[in-house]
Amino acid sequence: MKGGEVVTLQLGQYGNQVGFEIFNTMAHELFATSAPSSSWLSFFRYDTRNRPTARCVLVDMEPKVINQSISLAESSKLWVYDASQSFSKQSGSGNNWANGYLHHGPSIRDRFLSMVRREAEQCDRLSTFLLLQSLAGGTGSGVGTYLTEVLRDEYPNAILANQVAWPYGTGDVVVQTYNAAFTLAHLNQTSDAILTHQNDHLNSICTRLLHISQPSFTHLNKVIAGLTAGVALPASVLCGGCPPTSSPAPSPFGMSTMGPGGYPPAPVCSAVADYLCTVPRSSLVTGLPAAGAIGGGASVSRQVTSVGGITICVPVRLPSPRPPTPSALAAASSSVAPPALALSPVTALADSLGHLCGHPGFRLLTTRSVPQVPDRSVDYTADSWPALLRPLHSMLAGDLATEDRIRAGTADLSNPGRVCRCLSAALFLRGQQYQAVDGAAFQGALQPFGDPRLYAPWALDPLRIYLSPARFRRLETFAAVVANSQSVVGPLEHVLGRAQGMYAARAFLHHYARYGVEEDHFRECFAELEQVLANYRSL
Amino acid sequence: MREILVVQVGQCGNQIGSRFWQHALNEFEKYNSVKVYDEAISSFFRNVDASGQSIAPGPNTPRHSLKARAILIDAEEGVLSSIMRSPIRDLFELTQFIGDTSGSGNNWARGFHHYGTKYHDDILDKVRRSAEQCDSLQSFFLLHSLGGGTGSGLGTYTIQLLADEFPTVYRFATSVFPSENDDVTTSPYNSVLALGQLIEHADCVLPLHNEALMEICERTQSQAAKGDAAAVIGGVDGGQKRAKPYDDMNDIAARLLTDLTSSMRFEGSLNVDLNEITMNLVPFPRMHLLTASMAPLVRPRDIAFQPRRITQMFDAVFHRDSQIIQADPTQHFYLGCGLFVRGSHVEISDIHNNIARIRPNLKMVPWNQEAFKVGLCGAPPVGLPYSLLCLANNTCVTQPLEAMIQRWNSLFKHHAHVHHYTEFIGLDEMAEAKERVLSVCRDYAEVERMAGTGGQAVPRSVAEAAPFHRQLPLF
Ligand SMILES: Nc1nc2c(ncn2[C@@H]2O[C@H](COP(=O)(O)OP(=O)(O)OP(=O)(O)O)[C@@H](O)[C@H]2O)c(=O)[nH]1
Ligand SMILES: Nc1nc2c(ncn2[C@@H]2O[C@H](COP(=O)(O)OP(=O)(O)OP(=O)(O)O)[C@@H](O)[C@H]2O)c(=O)[nH]1
Ligand SMILES: [Mg+2]
Ligand SMILES: [Mg+2]
Repeated sequence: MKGGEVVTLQLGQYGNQVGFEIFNTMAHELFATSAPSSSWLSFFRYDTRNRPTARCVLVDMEPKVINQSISLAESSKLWVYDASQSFSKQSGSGNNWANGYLHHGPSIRDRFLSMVRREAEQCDRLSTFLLLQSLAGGTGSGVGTYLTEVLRDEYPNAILANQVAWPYGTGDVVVQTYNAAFTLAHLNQTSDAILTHQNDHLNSICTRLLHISQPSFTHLNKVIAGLTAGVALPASVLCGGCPPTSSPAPSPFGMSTMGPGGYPPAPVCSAVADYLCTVPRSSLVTGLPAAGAIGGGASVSRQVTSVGGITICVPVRLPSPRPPTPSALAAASSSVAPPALALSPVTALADSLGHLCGHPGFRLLTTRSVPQVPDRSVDYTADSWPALLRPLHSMLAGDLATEDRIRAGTADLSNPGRVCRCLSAALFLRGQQYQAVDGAAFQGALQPFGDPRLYAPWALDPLRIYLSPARFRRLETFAAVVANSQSVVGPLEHVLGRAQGMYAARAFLHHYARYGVEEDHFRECFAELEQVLANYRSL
Repeated sequence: MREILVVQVGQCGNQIGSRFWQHALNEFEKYNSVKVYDEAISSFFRNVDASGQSIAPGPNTPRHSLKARAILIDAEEGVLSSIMRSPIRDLFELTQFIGDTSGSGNNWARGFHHYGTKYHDDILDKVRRSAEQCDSLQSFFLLHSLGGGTGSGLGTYTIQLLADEFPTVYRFATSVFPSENDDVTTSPYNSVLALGQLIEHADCVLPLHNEALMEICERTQSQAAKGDAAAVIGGVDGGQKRAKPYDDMNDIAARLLTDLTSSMRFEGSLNVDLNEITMNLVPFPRMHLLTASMAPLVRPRDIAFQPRRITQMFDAVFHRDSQIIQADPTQHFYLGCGLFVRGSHVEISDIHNNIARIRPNLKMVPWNQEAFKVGLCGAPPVGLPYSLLCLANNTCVTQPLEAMIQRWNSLFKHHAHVHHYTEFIGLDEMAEAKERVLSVCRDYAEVERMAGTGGQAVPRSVAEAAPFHRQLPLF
């Protein structure tokens, strides 16, 4: 694959610590064992000494973290940072979004842009900027917000993806909810996609699934790196029965689809619907409660409607393809030949983000993956696709942070109040098995992800599936799902509520006023987030 | 390079300073045994070669002669000249001293007005010169006592000068509060007059009570005597008998300063720069008195990295006995609480687990139920595997302030010693200082009252006065 490069911007302590782990994970996946194939070129390039070098610009307002990351990469003996593409100042942003946004940000604009330009010049076809930043501090949040806006002006056609961390619920930074509110409100206007991670959730993955008794930031960051690499590494789009030519993956530069009011083209997605509904009816109907639950064919007719002033296409609901019972699956697999898989050419991160964030009022994404196993257990882990996808589906539908194999498979979509509804989702399946396995079982395991009850009624072709035969983390099967869903309502409500409470007490306002952020701006940002919340609640 | 400039004024300030510089040296001996002059050392020390040139830090820069980034001021010669005879004398150049012969006679007004006017140019000159030797001066640390005349008067004169001259550099004051049975009769006047200045011109005041320090020292020493502890941590030289009576107490103050600055000097997975302290712990201008507590203060015999020890450490900093002021924060409301860990055996999850565990026992203001600020620095203090510094903005801080006002009142009722002050200042200036302290007390009391009723608190200082805006070049 040529082109479609991703340039990563590591901002503040979070960005620089997490960024190191992401590149390190990718490097191990891409060229620790095998000779580098061209696919790794979207995140790495060669430096003058022919070493794989992260396509990355490192920014912090204090020097220590950047130095640490650069030397960690050096000592990996696998890849390096380009140290000339890093920039730090002497005193951090002091956990003050206003300091970062109005003071440090503008002061480093030109330096920053020239580093980005240098990186962009070494890309064949730069598609995406991935900004890594925390929400709680001052540099990642404030400088990060400012630089996102600068990039939007300078690179209007590139996708801007911001990966952010929700702070710990117990409190990390006293003013974390202010900083988070400012950042999210601004990014909602500028960013194309905001990939969120919750430190609390990462922590429970570490303790409950990875059996780490005292998780450190490094442990958390390895989990983030796994989630990020799991969705960012190359994969093909599943195109159902359609010939790939008739359903091209949208070009990374067809990003008018990401702009306000834009809407992504749908052929690939409806192909997924086709694929999921081509399971022979006869075999599925057995064991299903109501006859006719599976409708005829997969034809999706659309009505044009208007939601919040934006005209969108609404699919007439697909009849729900209930998760098939094991007996049905067995029947299906024994009696019917599996449908052929058709795959588009290998695509990049840009494609999934384009699919996920087609609607301007909805930019917040949550990523989950299975299995989460300690490194030492990887070689003993071999899940079948159904065994892997069932807990993932429960996590998606039930808004769970960690998989629960015991109760998995019980995701009940019949009570709409209990379903964490999505606008869109992207499912990533990595591993060699899928060609080898029983096609019908594979298809059946995927089917619950296409259940319309999981999605907003007006969501158009919400699911896209990506496949890669390459193993991830040596796992035989790996699955991740990125969702644009109501999962963000909880943390967003928390941030907004706390920030408003603090604002009502007029606490800490003078620190922001010192840099020129006045009370109006607090209220504007709160209003923006109220709107985002209302959007997600309405799904 | 990120530097700190220490301004130590008066007997107490200079004695604490001596211990602090010794601690700082020991710490760098521990972390930089190869005698390199690196960025971490450059925060506190200049590197001066044989020709008197300052050499910039670098990964391979050899260490020449280290000079403390400090200005030493006293109106008497005693303490300054004993520093010049002490083992750390080479850290200082004569140009860093400002000394006089006659003292301030325990009179704030003499220190502030008489010596302030007299040494205005000299102080400014020396501070400017030191600031020019810095690459990116982060903060001033004023070390002084409130009870006497020089540290209290000339010290607060200096901080006001710094506020005018270096408005964007943070000013921390480590201020020793007098004991109730202090031998200085005029200490209530001096303290209140000094606080009036600190409230206005410091970014952050860290009060230390000598009684509290004394109790802590007695406790740690009796633990050491009973054999429960291998060493008293305050004691740089490992619990040996001290030359000076205040040394043990001053070691605790010194440790506070090294811990507070550790995260800006050493690497860690969650760094805390000094500008984050006020940002997180001072929700309203002028309500910037922070109570401190530290643990562990002794090195236990079994210094293994047991989770139990980490738990104990968190319990200790919230215990009344560990507070270095005489008040109990757990009985009052937290406006903010900073927990700064040093050491590589404590992880971020330990911190949050402990916060979650302790949080139900603490009263937090209703508008900020998660008012915690967390830091994680990789380098532990000398002699310990890990340590924890807790800095809190807590409404209990009004107790020592109110006690001081009462002692002021009982003196003032009889006009005792007032004439020493009116020699330099008007009664209105005295009244004004007292009113400033009272108004901060009222603000804290109001926060506590509203918090008690579960309502939102808007302190008067915010509601009535426009918040002070420090002038900053924005772009
Ligand atoms: N998961 C994870 N979270 C981190 C990491 N480092 C910091 N955080 C979180 O990020 C927030 C603090 O933000 P930082 O990234 O340290 O702040 P900054 O961007 O450097 O900004 P300033 O220090 O204020 O200049 C807190 O919520 C931390 O929990 C990390 O390595 N991993
Ligand atoms: N903790 C501590 N307190 C001290 C020390 N020296 C003096 N004090 C306290 O400081 C107060 C007296 O102030 P000093 O610092 O001696 O006075 P000064 O600033 O030199 O002012 P003058 O002597 O009046 O010129 C009293 O409350 C003492 O208990 C010390 O080394 N450590
Ligand atoms: Mg930082
Ligand atoms: Mg004296």
